[in-house]
Amino acid sequence: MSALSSRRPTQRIPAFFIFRIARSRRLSNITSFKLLSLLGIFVFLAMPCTAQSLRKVIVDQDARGPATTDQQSILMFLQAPNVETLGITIVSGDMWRDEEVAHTLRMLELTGHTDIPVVPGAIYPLINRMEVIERWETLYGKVHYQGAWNGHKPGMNLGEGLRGKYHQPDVVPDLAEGNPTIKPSTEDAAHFIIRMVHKYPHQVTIYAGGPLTNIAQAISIDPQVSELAQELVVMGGALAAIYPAGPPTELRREFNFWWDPESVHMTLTAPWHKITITTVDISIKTRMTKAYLAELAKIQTPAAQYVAKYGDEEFMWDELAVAGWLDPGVITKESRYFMDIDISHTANYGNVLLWDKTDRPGLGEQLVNLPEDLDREAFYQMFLNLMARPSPAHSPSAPH
Amino acid sequence: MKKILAVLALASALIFPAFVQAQQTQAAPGTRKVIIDQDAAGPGGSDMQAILSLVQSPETDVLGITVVSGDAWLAEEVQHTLRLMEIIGRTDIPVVPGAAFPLVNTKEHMARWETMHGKIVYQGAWNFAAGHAVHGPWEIPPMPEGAPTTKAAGEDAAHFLIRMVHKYPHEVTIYEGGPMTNLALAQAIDPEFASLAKELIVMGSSLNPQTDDPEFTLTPSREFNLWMDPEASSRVLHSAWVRVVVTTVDISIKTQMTKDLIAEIAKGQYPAAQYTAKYAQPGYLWDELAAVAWLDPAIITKTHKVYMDVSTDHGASYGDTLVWTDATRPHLGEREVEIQDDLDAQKFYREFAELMTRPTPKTHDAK
Repeated sequence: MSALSSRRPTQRIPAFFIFRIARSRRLSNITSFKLLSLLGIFVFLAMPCTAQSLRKVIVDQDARGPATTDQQSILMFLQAPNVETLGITIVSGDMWRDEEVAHTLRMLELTGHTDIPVVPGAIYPLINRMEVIERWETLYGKVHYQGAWNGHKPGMNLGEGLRGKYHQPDVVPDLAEGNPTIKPSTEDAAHFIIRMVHKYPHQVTIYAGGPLTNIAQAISIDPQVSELAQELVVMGGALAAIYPAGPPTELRREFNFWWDPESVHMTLTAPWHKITITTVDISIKTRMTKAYLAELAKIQTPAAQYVAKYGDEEFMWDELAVAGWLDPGVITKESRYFMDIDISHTANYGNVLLWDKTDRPGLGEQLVNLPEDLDREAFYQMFLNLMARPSPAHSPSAPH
Repeated sequence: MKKILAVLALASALIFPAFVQAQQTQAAPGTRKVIIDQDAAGPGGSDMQAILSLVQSPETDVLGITVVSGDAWLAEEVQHTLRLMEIIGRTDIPVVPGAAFPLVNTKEHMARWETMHGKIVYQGAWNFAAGHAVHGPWEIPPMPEGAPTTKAAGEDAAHFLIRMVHKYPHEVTIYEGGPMTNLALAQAIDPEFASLAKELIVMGSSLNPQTDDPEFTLTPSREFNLWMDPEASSRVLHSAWVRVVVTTVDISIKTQMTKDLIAEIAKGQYPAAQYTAKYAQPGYLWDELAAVAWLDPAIITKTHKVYMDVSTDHGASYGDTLVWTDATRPHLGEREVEIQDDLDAQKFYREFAELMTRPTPKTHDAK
């Protein structure tokens, strides 16, 4: 074995560092970031929350429930005073779509946000199928967590945070938190996304906390979607995560991306103005602990009570992606690389591919912002503060 | 009597530290049989220093050095290896030419692959040559250390490997510091090959190296030795070895051939030390760690076991390391291997410097 690291021509080295935003460990920078974000919050609170001043977002989620990272991340948007959630588009992932729609509707009822449209999206990934993965596993080894597919055959690892037993996609078991009485939107997620970015060009953030099937469908129907959106914020992918006590075998595999790799490829090769991706690497630096749930239980708001009652110990995967968008000051270190996903039907199917400027293939892969580290205290405090806000946080907006 | 022995031991400890080291690991001189399979770029550098580590140890009986294309092409590597054996006075060790090309992978295929999946920084003989231009497989650029007058063995590496494990069943350690083409050929010709060896020591694979160097972080599962000939790697990692020990990128990059270490070796009076110091460059001690940790396993402070394979799919992951736990593995004959996680770096540097600076052991009897 030899390598260029010791012999690499010196002119090659700086290219990488250009792409690293080394703002993390420099005290002055951290301070200025915090000041900026504090200033932002101050300015924001001083402004009246008119429709014009609200940041518009579509929340695309594989909305398992009750609670868990999926519902909790949705709640953060709903509870934020400066955010207008245009709608919640649902995609199969952690659970099947219809069960997720029911959990989301019920969460809106319990937390006083019934004015927000819930829009059903894709039931199945574009290409990937449970039966294909079954065959794939005989060649390449078991996949630890498979979301809605978990437990479809005996002996499968149920994975962290799985709720309930395997069932068919059209089955919606009775919900532990009670069944909803309100109904979902009759529009489908892809068309809702397309309609919203045309209605509010360059003003809508698309947040995706699950598989990217709905986003890919929207882009496929209308390639203008990515350019008409303001930015894309994603929880997905894994780079080189060090699990506290984890398997070494899933280095670049992360559930959201793995469930529908082709949709990730379509989304990440579209021309967005800005892409920010919260990966496993940083998500596992956060944790919803029992002590934290106990803190939430003391807060007498519907949102806090809902999370305290149904929340579990879990990494705060999707909440962190929301926090970085609400207040960039939470993120203390970030890098930028070109990213895609492997869609070849090989051992690497669904795994993240990463390049810098010097070695990328140039096949449409986009530069993405990758938060690497966070201010944990600021993050935990932000979540508590949001859950402590009365709901609804703003008057119901006009029907979309 | 005990007192006299103690005094003698103390005296020898002062005079021959390397000898005492050998005593500590309790191997009689010249008894540990090993075949060095190496992509032997030279002069000097990681490949040659790994060969030297094993030849310089008084414990080893180096049955032969089998050469394979990798960091450089086979033909030039054979010449550099022959010349090194002349310089240190060990022309009795056979230098056995092996595979000039990987089984399936080619430079031309990889060039097309790169247009799909991105550039690969280091490709050994295919895109890198130290001190001269990248060249074809049969060209031998001028040798700074002088050209050898001795000749390579007439046998090929695969047959030599097979002959040796049959001659000394369960006694021969196969040390692998390069692509696994020779071992895969031996296994293909003789399915008993792996099971007749004592063990396999590998520098190869990458699991999740912790570094800021993008060469390793952007593609954390890619490592040159296993990547250059993925089909050979997969074949070897599915063979019935009694034991496999793997030195990964992850641990190798915790080592450094520093200027101080080179200066320390330069103080050595013997030809091995002078050769090493003259051609050494600062860099990671990839293959040397695998070699020296085999000589003294106490260098390694932490290990764990995984099941390992190499991706032979012609996708973005071609040549990447695959690893599983027992709970997740596919059960297609993949082997359990011992991964070195951490080391006592100071102990390693000390023992490496001792090996480089000690007098080269004489020829052992009974080849």
